[in-house]
Amino acid sequence: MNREILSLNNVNRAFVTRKSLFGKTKLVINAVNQVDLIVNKGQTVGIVGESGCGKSTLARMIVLLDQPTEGSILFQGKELSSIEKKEMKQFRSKVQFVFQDPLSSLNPRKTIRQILETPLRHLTDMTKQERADRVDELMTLVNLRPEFLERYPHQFSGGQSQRIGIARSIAANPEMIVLDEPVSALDVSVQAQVLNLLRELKERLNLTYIFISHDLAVVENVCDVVAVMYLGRIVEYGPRKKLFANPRHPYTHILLSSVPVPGKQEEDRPGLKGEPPSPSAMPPGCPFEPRCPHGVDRCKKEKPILDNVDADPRAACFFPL
Amino acid sequence: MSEQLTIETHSKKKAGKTYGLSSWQRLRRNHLTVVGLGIVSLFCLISLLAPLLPLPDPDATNLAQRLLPPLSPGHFLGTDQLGRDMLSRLIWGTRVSLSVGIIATLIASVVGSLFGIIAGYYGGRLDNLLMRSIDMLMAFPYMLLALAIVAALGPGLMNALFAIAIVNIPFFARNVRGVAVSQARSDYIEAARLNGQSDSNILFTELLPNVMPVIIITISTTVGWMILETAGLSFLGLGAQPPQADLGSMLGEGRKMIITAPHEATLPGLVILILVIGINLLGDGLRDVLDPRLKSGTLVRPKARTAVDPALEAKPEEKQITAGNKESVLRVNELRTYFNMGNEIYKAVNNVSFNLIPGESLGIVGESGSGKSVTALSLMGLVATPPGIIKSGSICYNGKNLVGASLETLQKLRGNRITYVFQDPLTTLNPLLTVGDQIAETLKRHQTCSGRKIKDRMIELLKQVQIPNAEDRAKAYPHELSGGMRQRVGIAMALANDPEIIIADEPTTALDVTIQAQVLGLINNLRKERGLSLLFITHDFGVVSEVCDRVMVMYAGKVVEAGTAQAVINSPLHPYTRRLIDCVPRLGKPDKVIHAIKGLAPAVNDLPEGCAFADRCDYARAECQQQQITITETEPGRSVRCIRVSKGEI
Repeated sequence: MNREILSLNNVNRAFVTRKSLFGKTKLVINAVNQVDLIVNKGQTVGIVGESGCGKSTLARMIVLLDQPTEGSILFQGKELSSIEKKEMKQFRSKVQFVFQDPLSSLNPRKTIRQILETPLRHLTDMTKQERADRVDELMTLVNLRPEFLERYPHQFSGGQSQRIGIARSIAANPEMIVLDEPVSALDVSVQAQVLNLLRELKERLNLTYIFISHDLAVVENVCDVVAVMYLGRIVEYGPRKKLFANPRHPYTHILLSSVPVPGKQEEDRPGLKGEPPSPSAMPPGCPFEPRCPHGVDRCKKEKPILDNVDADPRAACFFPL
Repeated sequence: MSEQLTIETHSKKKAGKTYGLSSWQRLRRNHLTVVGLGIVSLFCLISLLAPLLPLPDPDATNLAQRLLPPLSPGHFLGTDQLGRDMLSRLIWGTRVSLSVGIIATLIASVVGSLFGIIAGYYGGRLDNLLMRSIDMLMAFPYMLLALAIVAALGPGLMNALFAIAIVNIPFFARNVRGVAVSQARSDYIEAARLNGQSDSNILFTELLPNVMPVIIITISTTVGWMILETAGLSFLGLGAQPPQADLGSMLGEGRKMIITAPHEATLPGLVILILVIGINLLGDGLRDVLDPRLKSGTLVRPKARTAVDPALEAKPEEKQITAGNKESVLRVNELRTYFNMGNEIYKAVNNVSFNLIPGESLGIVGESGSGKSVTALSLMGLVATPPGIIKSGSICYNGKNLVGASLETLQKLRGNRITYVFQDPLTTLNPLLTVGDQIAETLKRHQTCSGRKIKDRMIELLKQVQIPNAEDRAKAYPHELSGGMRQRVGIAMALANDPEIIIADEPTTALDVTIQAQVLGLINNLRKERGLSLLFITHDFGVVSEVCDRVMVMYAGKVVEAGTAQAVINSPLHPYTRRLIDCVPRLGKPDKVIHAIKGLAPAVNDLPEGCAFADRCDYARAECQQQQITITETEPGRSVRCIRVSKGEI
């Protein structure tokens, strides 16, 4: 069962912006920094982190909406940057994406039928009749009535729009779907509907998910393996249960204790001092050091990498908890 | 499958009603546009029918009958200096001018839009190259460029047409590019790429339909201008050549006779005037209908105070009558706030009552559309009018009824005794003023003291909300601060005048969890230190546990359950409250099965007769849908709106 479907090796993505008018001073922002990750078939891998941690940039690189400036991404053993135009269709049909904002990801001037037919027309060799049948089938899969097909996106609520976005992503029978904050724009009761739908589809269609989210409770609920990102790096990585029960990186620990839980009034949570440093002026050592309660001199000078001890999860910290 | 059904019925209703007015209906409501449409259609019809109308040859000269005044026999509008029939020439001339104007516009729109859409979609170097060449075209004075082109190509109607089309390309290119740039970065274009669509396919099937309104708006506003320019070139003798009639050349010829035969110049001038006015009126109307900004009504300036039903408008002597409850700083009674949109009434807040005790923190929990924010905004009359109106109820603050109170009374309280903290401070802070100045302004508005004192107080406030380097940060603009820092500034502004009540509307929803924890801690400490009353709006029961003493749960504009935070969260009595708590994954319970609530909340313009939650409720029975369910007190301080409670079943 442990078949590797996706692997990221030392992936970096740097954005260069010019600050002055004539482009003299260059500002380099390392949105994603030395990321290694392996995804096995059938898994749901969660990537969590706060805004600006690079999780969305990572997601975009996995689906080839963006390219790493360094490192390689392999999907089914094939290096993404070497995919030629002819093979693109095949890749696109195997790896799909679901957007955070369901409404803005649907073209406001197309009917739902047109929206769902587009991937079928471009990614499959279906005939017109086959496409029409598949569109009906997709609507049933995501629990929407086929009558909705002739309507426009603005006539749907957020939850329904996200179902349509999910239907589009599964249209061409993908093997892996990258979900970028798929439920964070939705109301909580609708969020649960969509999460359950995703779970159901995964089992029925044998999918692999990469689930990007800032909501730790949601990630804990749906993922098998979790990677915690901070300022472009994976700081902790491991199986969900162990990571959530016994986090080893101080950042994960604080992150988890910051989540308010109904019925609990936390009087003295460890709390995180300050705000993350600007991504353009990163500390030379551990990126978390300026805010870390346990930081020592060594953390200021050296960058810790993910350790590899027997005790899962793996943490990028010199003094894991 | 029952889930499907409820979703279906709901959307059908929504689709039918909210989008009631079609573009055509909205166009027709504007009388000036209808006038413009009438003028333009009349001109177009006459021009089209010109060959069929019983008109004399417009080019046939008859020197014996030259310069006849209007209303002469046989020549209704008289003749010109060569004895040609004016009416015939005017009609044929309008036909020429109109078609030249329209064809030039079409050429300019196709070429210009193509430039704009390609530049906007690809961006980068291509964008620079295309748009800089457009800029070069714009660098020449407009008419001069047209003259130069005609001079190069030689005079003639076709050459004038090309000249005018070329001169107008930049307008289309710039307008279209602006929209294309923003559209090209939107998610649906990315989605199209993921669908495997090629660039040209995305350009023409995804992007073009979305920039079409801009193209149409630009066309409608340029046609009139193009006709004027054609007339201008013809007037100078560079456009239509004799004997061909066109409005501009007729004006030019008539000018020489202005003393002896004034009608010869006046008539074509009048025709140009009326035609262009008609086109512009129609164009403006079209723009109003198609422009999304105008459509959403953002240009309608809301009143400074929410409208109040006339029956509630307070007379001065009545203001004091409502006796204040000593134990409450704010008592809201049977508040109803509606939105009147077209023929629909949205009952956003539908009979809400609550009581805020000094020093307590009351949470309002609900999903979007439950009326929690509108309730909060109604308190200080901040609901936008139009379309909002307070239909009934009272809001008692220290014995004074604020419903129907004058704007002056409210303004004395706003930002002073009762203050707000909003979800995203980036949208509530003024981007052009430093945060320090904005806090100082709040202070100046309500206090009379020296500038020095105000500045000290401002720095002190920034320190109280734990902003590091307060002196420096005071000089920062809102966009220079992080989300957490901005929210601290928002809180500092709310605290500035030592208020009695702070109303916080999802103040931490936009923040990261670690920052949320910091801000919640800050709010808690400040509230306890100062003994403030807090009205805290949220959708997150975790946050409620953190900051609220009591909580009320809202659904479809009504309070369905209220009680102490602990009691409501640990033993919810209303089925909705229970489901709302249960449908959220909870940290530390990885194997919890999340039970979604089936279907959607009803639209508040189409509420059912009985309980609004009935068709999503597991315990619903026939009587739930037959009557209004009253809210019942189960024990002091705890009340529930459910038939099973009111009948004593649970």
